[in-house]
Amino acid sequence: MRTVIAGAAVLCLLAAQPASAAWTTSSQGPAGAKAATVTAPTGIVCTKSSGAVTWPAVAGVPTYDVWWSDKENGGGNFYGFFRVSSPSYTVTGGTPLRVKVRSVAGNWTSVQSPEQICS
Amino acid sequence: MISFKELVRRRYVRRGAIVFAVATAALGSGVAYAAWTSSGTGNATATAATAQAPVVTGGAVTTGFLYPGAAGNAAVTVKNPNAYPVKVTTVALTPGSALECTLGFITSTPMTPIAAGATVTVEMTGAVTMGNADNSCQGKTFSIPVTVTIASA
Repeated sequence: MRTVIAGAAVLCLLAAQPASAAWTTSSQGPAGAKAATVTAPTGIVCTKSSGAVTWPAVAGVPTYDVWWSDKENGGGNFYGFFRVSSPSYTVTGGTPLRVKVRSVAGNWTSVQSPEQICS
Repeated sequence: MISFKELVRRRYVRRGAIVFAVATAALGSGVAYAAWTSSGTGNATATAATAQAPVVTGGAVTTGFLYPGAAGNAAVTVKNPNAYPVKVTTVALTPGSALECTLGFITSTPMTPIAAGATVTVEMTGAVTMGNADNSCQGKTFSIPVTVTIASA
């Protein structure tokens, strides 16, 4: 009887063995990666009545800084910056007449966009 | 009249038969019973295939660009020169490699299948990190030395 049980156990162990091992090889070569280019946004649209400021996203750029002014004369008097993580911003607490935006990626920043006059 | 000793003996025999039947079933129903055959002698020859190493060339990423403090994507193009399908098991930075612009590379296990003789581009999301790199690194394309391992699928 013990012989039968031992035989069954051996057969079970044999059946549990893996069928085969995978063939593995390796070699070296280059992997590609690319750094973002932080350029200033273009095509900025600003609306006085709603305070909405929008612009097309810059590829690879995660955040933007926005400045706005409620003065019509050029230069100075900007509030900001206000950092946003999408290519839009809504001015609150005033009416935007001029805006400018820059792109930000980590510690990389673009130059500020030219002032955009709101319509 | 069956004696008590005979009853015990029969019980053991029955248990042994059950255990043997279970063990046979566990071996797998796919195993056919061997037929009784006659045989002769002779030499058969067979040569095992040799596993060929993958051919690795650079891939171009189109998303997941790098910038300071973030992880970006890496891509590698791998050709399977073998006559059997494989999968890409690991992509690791080649030991001793120096990377520019404070880059780092995280070992990937993409498990991407490649058919026999086929070529695929494997894109690894977030595999490359960038530290506090300076502005001169903006827009650069990097060629990162990696070791690609494939295994038969």
